[in-house]
Amino acid sequence: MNITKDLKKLVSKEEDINLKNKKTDILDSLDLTYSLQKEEYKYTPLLKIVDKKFDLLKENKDQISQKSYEEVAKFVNSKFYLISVDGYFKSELSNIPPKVKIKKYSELEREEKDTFENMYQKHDDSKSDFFSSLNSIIHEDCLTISVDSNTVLKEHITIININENYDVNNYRKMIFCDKGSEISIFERFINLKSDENFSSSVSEIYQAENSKLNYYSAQDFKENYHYNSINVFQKRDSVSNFFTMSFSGSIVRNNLNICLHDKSCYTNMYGFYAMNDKSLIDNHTSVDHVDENSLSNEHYKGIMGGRSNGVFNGKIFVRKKAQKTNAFQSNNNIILSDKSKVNTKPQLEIWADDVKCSHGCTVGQMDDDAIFYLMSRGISRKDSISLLLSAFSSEIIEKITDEKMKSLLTELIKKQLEKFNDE
Amino acid sequence: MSKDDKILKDFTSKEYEHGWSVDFEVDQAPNGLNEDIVRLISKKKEEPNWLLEWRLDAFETFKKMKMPNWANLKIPEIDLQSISYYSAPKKKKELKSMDEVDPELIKTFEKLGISLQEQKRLSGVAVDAVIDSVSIGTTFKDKLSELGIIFCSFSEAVKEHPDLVKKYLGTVIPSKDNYFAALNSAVFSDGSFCYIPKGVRCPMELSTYFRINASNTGQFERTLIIADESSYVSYLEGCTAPMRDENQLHAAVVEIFAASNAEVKYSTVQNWYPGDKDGKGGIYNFVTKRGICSGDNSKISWTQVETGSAITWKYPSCVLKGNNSIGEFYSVAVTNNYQQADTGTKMVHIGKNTKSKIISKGISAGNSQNSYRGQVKVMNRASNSRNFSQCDSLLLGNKCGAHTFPYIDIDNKSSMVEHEATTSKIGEDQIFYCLQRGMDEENAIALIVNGYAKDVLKQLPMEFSVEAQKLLSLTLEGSVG
Repeated sequence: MNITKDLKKLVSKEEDINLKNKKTDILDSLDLTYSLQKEEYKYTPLLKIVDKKFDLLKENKDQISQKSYEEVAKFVNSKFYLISVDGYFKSELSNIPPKVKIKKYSELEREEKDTFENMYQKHDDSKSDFFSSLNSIIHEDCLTISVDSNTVLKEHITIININENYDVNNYRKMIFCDKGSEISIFERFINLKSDENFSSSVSEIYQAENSKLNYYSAQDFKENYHYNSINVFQKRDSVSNFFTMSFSGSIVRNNLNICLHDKSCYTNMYGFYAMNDKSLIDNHTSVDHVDENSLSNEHYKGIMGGRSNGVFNGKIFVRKKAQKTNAFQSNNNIILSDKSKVNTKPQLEIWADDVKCSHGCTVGQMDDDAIFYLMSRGISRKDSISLLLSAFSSEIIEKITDEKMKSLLTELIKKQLEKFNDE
Repeated sequence: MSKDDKILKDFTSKEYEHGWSVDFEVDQAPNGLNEDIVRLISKKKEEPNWLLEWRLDAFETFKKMKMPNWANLKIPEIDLQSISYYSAPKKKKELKSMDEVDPELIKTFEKLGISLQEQKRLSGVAVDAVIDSVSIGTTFKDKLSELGIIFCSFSEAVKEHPDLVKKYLGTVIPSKDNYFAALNSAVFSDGSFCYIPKGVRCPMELSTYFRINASNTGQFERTLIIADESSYVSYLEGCTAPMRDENQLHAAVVEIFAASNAEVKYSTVQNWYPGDKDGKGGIYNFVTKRGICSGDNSKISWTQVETGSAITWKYPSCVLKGNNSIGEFYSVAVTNNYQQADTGTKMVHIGKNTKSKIISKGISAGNSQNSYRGQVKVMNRASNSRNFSQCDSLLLGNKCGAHTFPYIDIDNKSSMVEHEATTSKIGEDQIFYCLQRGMDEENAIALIVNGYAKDVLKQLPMEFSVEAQKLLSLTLEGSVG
């Protein structure tokens, strides 16, 4: 990527004057020396994609190929679905649920725009993260999802993002959950492009009082690079649940930043990653407890096989005002192969005294005694191992309350765990 | 003001007990840091040429380095040019027995509670007391030399055992290691040297007291401990500094080398002047401590109780190179008022079946910031290695902060690594339980805190354990969170 030149070109093409100003600001402050990124990308050489000379410029192809059409059909497993191809939202292919407004940012009416304009680029980490800044400048359509107050959607919305034609695809969305609403989202990325590519996705989520959000994502990027950043801003008594499952990818980086900005907020962050071959999964999470009585609960589990590398960094901040906070964090890893690695850093920063915070992390391997126990009952070694691995994953799966999602994700994990049979 | 606040305030406004200073005649180098000063130090100490070269080499490296800024500390700019890099009490005459020691000095020791004679006769601890960089009295030397143990000041070791010093100096912490290690390597004044020969178990606790006395003197101590095959030594380090308004810099280096089957236990109680209740003054403590378990089955254990210094930047580490070697780190770090501490350890597993254990207990009060920063690194060939880390923080009051930055880097499939950490305050139910049994609140807190830090305190040798417990109870009197 010839970054600066291409980016300037892209910014100059922007029509919305407000956006153009915002983008220019970001471009001006873009840290091209990456010095700020050193600690955050200590184990994750994602910056090397910058040297890959990917082409940033593209034209919107209106047609979706027959192949994508067929692929998409496989992934649609719910009544409501939103489809984007190469970063462009395709409303004609999507099925939009009632009481939920889904539009491109550029097509918003004046009064709708206010809500999102206040939100736009406010809660993301584009000031501190190079790839978020990059996405802010070069993303295609920005999808806005606005859930009316007290709307409760029983069925989850599937968001399908397809990388089909270009080297670099950037997705952006904003979700506004109004008071008392409740929705579930299942996000998937599909790669149809055969050559190496890079995709990025930045989401900004605003949860008003008493709203509830369940967010599931399953990542299967094969030999490609991906950057994902989800930024959540929660108001009083809101609840969020995140489930992030990662199965493959040359380098996959997930940022999950949650700001519990008001009293009595509640968030659960669960992650499961099972990688083999030469791949790298990096989960960076941060929870910022700003006000009293909130609770955060985080649990990430991983199985590393092949030449994979697992990186975990969990940050918990408890501000002075956030008394009576409970914050828990834990990260467990199993290393299956001699060539795989784990780098984990559970980090706590606490300024309030009346809190209960803990973090724990473990790195270990299969328990020989447990395998022996199963084998002594006539189960083959191979089956014993896969039984134990699925038991390891079930601790995360059990946390899913939606039965449909639970069976969907169990199926995906089962398929992935089969790959470890030979190790 | 509630009772708790009052007690907390009383304590926090307490003056530093060890704040006094004795005027010796001091031979002091002019302020400033340049090549001439490095040469001057070397010349004053009558050092051989190779050591001067080594210092100059370190100084060259140092000039290219920048002050590190990754720590979770707010460090005011330190003007290295305004510090004098050498100060030694003037030599009056050769000292052979204790009677010849400057009476002023003996007074100093008495105030510190370590009267040399008393120590010598009663406690069985050999003390190599370092006052402002030059060793004054070394006791028990004869007794130790019977066993072949060398325990002397660093400059003496350079003169009498140059081969040993040359062989081991800078092997554990190279002069290029970091900013402060490079600075120390260039201008180190004195320190302790200890060599335990093969198969010898040192019969007593070796101890040294550092004291920063002359004002505006940077203290650049260098300690080198070598434990040869199958030997054992327990080494104690205690530090107090008089009360001064200007900040004083302390950048020490401690190197430990353990050959196969050797065991070294290094204990520190540090209660340097932490600055007054407004954060004025206090010692800046930037220490590089590292040990290498070079041979198989060797063991290095660090125990520290840190209650002093305005800024503490200290990571006693172990490189577990030999197979089956063991590294341990036990720490209690207490910060109050405006103190800042960024402390922890590094355990680098290189050999097979290596084990490490980290127990870190942080206690923050007042407006202080207390950080644990540690790394557990398991290399690819370190199969079956094992680590257990626990770092707990206790917060007293809502103006302080507790931070934890553990790095866990595992590159081996047969290793087991566990890390756990908690942050909390003293539970009301715990206090209630004690009150119910007729204890008053202060005693209850002292009891709970001592219990909280017990895992570490019990690792200290007797002599230190009592002092450390006293320090802890004092620091935390009446501070209900």
